[in-house]
Amino acid sequence: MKKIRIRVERVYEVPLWLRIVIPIIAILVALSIIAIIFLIQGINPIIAYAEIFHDAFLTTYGIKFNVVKLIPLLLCSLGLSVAFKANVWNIGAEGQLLMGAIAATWIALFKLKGYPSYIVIPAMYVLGFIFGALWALIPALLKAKFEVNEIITTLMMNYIAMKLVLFLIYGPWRGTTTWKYPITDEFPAEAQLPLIPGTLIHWPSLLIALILVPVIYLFLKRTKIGYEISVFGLNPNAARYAGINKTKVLVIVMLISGGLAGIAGVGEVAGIHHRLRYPSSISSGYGYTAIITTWLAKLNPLLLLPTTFFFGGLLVGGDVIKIDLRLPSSVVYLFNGLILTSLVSSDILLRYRIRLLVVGEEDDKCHS
Amino acid sequence: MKSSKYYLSPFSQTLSSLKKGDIVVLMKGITKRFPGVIANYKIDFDLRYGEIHALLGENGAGKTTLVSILYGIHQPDEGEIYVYGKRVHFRSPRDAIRMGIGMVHQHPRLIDTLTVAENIALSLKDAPFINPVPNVEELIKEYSEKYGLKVDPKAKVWQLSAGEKQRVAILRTLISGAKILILDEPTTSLSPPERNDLFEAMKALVEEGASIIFISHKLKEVLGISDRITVLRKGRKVGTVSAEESSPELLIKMMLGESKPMSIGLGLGKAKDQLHKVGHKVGKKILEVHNLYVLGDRGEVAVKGVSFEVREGEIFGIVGVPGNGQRELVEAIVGLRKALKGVIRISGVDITNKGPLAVINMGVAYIPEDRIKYGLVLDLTIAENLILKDYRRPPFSGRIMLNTSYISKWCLDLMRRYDIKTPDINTPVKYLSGGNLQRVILAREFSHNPKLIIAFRPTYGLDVAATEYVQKLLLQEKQRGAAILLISEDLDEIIELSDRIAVMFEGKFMDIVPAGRADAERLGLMMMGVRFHEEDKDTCGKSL
Amino acid sequence: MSMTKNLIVVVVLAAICAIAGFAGGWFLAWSRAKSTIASLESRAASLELQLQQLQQQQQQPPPTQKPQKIKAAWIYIGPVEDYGWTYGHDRGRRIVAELFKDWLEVHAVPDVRDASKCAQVIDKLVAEGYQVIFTTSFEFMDVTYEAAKRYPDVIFFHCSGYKRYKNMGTYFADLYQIYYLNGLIAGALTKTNRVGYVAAHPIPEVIRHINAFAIGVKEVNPKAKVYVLWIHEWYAPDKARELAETLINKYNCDVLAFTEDSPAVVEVCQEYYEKGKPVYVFSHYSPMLNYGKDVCVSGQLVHWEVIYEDILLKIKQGIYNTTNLENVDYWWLLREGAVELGCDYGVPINPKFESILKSIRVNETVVLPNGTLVENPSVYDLVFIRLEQMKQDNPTFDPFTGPIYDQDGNLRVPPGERLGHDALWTMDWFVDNVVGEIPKGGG
Repeated sequence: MKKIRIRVERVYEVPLWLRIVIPIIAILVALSIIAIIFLIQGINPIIAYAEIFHDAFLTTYGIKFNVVKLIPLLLCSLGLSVAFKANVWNIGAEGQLLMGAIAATWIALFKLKGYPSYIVIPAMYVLGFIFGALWALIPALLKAKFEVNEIITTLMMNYIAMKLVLFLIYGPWRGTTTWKYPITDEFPAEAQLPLIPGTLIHWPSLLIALILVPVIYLFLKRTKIGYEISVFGLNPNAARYAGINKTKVLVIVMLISGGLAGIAGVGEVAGIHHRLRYPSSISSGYGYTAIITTWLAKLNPLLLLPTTFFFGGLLVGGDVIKIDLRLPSSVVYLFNGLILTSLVSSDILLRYRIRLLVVGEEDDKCHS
Repeated sequence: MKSSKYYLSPFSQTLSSLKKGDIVVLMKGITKRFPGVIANYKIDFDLRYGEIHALLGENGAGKTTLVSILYGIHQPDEGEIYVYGKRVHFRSPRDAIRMGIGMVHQHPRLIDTLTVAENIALSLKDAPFINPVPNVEELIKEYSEKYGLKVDPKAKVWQLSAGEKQRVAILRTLISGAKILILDEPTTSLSPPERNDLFEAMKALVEEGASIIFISHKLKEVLGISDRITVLRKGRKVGTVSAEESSPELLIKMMLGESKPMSIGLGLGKAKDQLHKVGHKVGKKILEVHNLYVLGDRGEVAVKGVSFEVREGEIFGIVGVPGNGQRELVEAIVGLRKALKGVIRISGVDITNKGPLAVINMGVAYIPEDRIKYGLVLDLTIAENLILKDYRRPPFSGRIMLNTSYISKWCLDLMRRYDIKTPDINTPVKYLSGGNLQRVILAREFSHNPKLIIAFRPTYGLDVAATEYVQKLLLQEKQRGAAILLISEDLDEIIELSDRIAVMFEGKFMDIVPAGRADAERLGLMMMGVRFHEEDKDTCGKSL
Repeated sequence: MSMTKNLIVVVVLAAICAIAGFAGGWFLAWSRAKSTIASLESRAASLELQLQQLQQQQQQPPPTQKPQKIKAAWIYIGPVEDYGWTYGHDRGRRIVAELFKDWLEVHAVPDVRDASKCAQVIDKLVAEGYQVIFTTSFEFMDVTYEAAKRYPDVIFFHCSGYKRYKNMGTYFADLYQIYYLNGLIAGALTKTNRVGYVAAHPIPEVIRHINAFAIGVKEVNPKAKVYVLWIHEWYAPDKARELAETLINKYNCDVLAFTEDSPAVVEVCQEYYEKGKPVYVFSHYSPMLNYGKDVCVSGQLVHWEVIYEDILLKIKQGIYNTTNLENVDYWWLLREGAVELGCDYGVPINPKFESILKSIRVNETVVLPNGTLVENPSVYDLVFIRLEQMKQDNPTFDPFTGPIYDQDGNLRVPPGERLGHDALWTMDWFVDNVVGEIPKGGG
């Protein structure tokens, strides 16, 4: 009796062309699956894709908003690329971003109220960095001292940060001119980041992010600490052998990672919202999306520019789906999720192959 | 065998008609190219029914590639493979297993937290889906009795010694129906008695109709156990000789080529003799260890009150069967493991529990036992690996930045001095061969004239030429005045290199003897825990 | 080579998907368009009646002088299907779209979850030529304000906020009077003298509603207390369900009111009724009688279309333009018809409860609008008397009329005084028969 079997096998040699072609196919497959969803909704997928792509990447409207989303994504991703390089899984950029937002609010509304903007704005960035960094320091120390898994602690710290924001806007920081709504008062003009006219792009944050791209790149490639981070991330045993201080590496990567997320939080409240408000309004999951963009960029800060721009575009494109195609926004999450899943599974496809075989009684036939 | 309900080999018919001397595997004109390298070039190889056929050659000679092709891991670019006379095209190991070929790797891939039986059940695709283990336990017992491969099927893998793991791996391939066995350097991590057990089992296997390809570096072993020997050099086959008509000299000549042994093999031997003859101008105490106690991974006391010292210009050898506390001792000295009790001084400075950086800063070179795990970062480049211990000081770096131009200049220099063969200092070290990997470590550790060298199994897994090279370097360093602590289970190596020898057994030193008075047989017995009185030649009783 | 084979299979699959997508897309788009047209036609027919009624009410003649079209867009924070806030607004949009279909073109963007997305959507809508944009969440206040400055030629209306600009007005339809009327009924129906309230966020709007409800309860049943539990979400059926059960089981409440954008609480009460333990409830925002035929007594309904109608007509007639909205703030109540008492349109009180409510007498004397005195009216009559009073052009009754004491016994409203708009909008205290506290922090 013959039967058909599916078999998964390890592939030991992968030619270069496959390494390039497979991810492209992965994205195409994701697009095809979503096409089916479009179909069910009665929308022509080709037109839909053309529209998403056109709006997100080829119109000034799309690019303007693309950049607005790119700013926090890029800042968080830069930080994450440092942490991930050390094999430290900081899932807490979202909470660290919120801590930066809290810091900016404190400076703007309480600590330095009434000071000129050349004092307030730098102070917000500095304190935002510090708050985000300190928030990330807690999981770093827990990991260094007690081997507590940082994935869990950083994730949990996100919820604590959210609750902290809620506490502040419902409690001590609730605005005096906001009809008791749970938001803080508006930042004074000196504490509002300047925008590129006609857009919501708070250019100081963009500038910081763009400067940091080569800086982080060089930091990882050319500095002593960057070298320690690479060694520690790739082989912690060798790092120990070479006398690299684990606590120091953990603390440094988490400080940088959290601090940059904190800067992203400053940008969001001081650049766009001008007040502290519901956590879900301040960040629509930038800290989590940044994990994807960082991963896609293979932890290379230079490659973050295209990946954050691409994902910024996807977020904008998702709104296009909503506005023009009138689909629920959950399709966008589906869209992002499917692309990520396809890319990750294509990675497996590179290392394994699937074979269909006919297995008969004469077993030796299968090898032809 | 009652077992064969599930695991009957598909070739039982074919096999029963085979007789000793029939060709079971024939590889013809095998060529395999990797980027920039020809790993195998037109190699012909055959394996006969019921024989042990050794594959001999230096690291990088193409032995592993050749068996990987037979096992389906790689596909040949040219050439044909016949198994039991049938032309085959293996696309993966599973195809090979299907044809009754099994491979036992140097470090068997087993799951530590599962039992022996569970591990074996995992690899049997035809094992019953529900509760396969009792069935498999019976099988294991049956096979282990038959071939003398003693293991406890209920033991967890992490509890096993290296030799036991090896046996599990062999049992696994046998139970899944393998009649053609490939053993890739199976003896490297075995103690002498374990090695002898393995050889007994191999003999039993071929008696039962198995055919074995045996890969090794060690000439003595190869000559002792094999029927035929095929020597490879630089990806080509030098020749196949039967064991009876070969000799160590012949094999060395075949392995190293006509010209090479003169310049390296024998030359080194001479250099060694010369270096030895100079005698040692033993100087100041460099390393002092006093009454040291260290815990092992499972909380047991692995080192129990060891005291010794190593002086300038001296090689202090510690010999013992692996697992008797050597690793814990070394790790405590280099700061990777906390000492429970006792004192470690380097040049008079107490560095007990001061951490690895303090030890590095004292000018200590450390050649770790596990190169891949501790000594190297495989994904980083050669240059990045070469600066692993120096990056933090000038001129390698300033306050913040690495000095890349100095580093590359320095690395190129080291690569020339230590003969590391690679096109580029920016090649990730994972692409280097085993010998070159060790050279990277040696270059890094010796480049700064360390005053103390801790060499933990420095020639482990290296081929003849690379072993000689390492040994020569150690002697040169000793000559220069370094204090050297050499830890090895290779008694010959210890006797050849050391000035004083300590035998370690169950966390204690059995004795420390000067090299001049060392007697291999006595040391071998001491490694097994047999204690002698200083003045009395008779054994006075075994411990344990 | 197997790799190539695999590859070909994948490529072919992808191609098939794409081609199928293209063909199927056209087909489905076409068939969907057909069904949409059909449903629109039937909806148009059903709305014709309503339209005629509305036009009769409308004193102004149908606009004719300016024939050009107006493009208006709505931005919602949630999904249209929430059956609460967003559903209410979208219903309003659909009615005005039908009503003014000759000159009004509408578009809605649901599910705009946060402010920066709202800014983006506004930009896009403006680029597409929408001249009137309604943003229907408090979250959107700041970005709408910024957008109003950025696009001086576009008219913005923001719902529930307090920021206005020369081209940005605000509007809100408030339910506190309705909650008061519900409270009257609740006070009459409770046997345990414990009334529960499942509340969304602790903000003045919700606090005001709870207080109005509690004032109603107290008027009919001075012994009854109102127990408040917070969800901290606007839309969270699971949590609403959980808290409703807590109020029933742990606090022994037998009448519930709530502020949450789903019928979850109504469903819980219906389940308890079917299990033999009647718990009565007041529906919120949308008609929920169908979710609790036996337990839904009355409830609060909203008619955003009344406000949208007024705004759009005034824009059409040029009364509102991009320079004069600085002080345009709709705060519409019963008087303007923006809210309605009932658990379904036109059903102020579930007929099932009519007789029992008529049988319960309230120990007070009420003055009717025409001046007659009613002694000890039934609760049923009292509800309708109060309703009439509050519907008057100059309402002769308001729930927030003193004396009102807070939980600590402080006199918050002196006897005879009424709370004004600002006091209602910043309310952060509970009246004396409320049990529970207003969280000062998140939680």
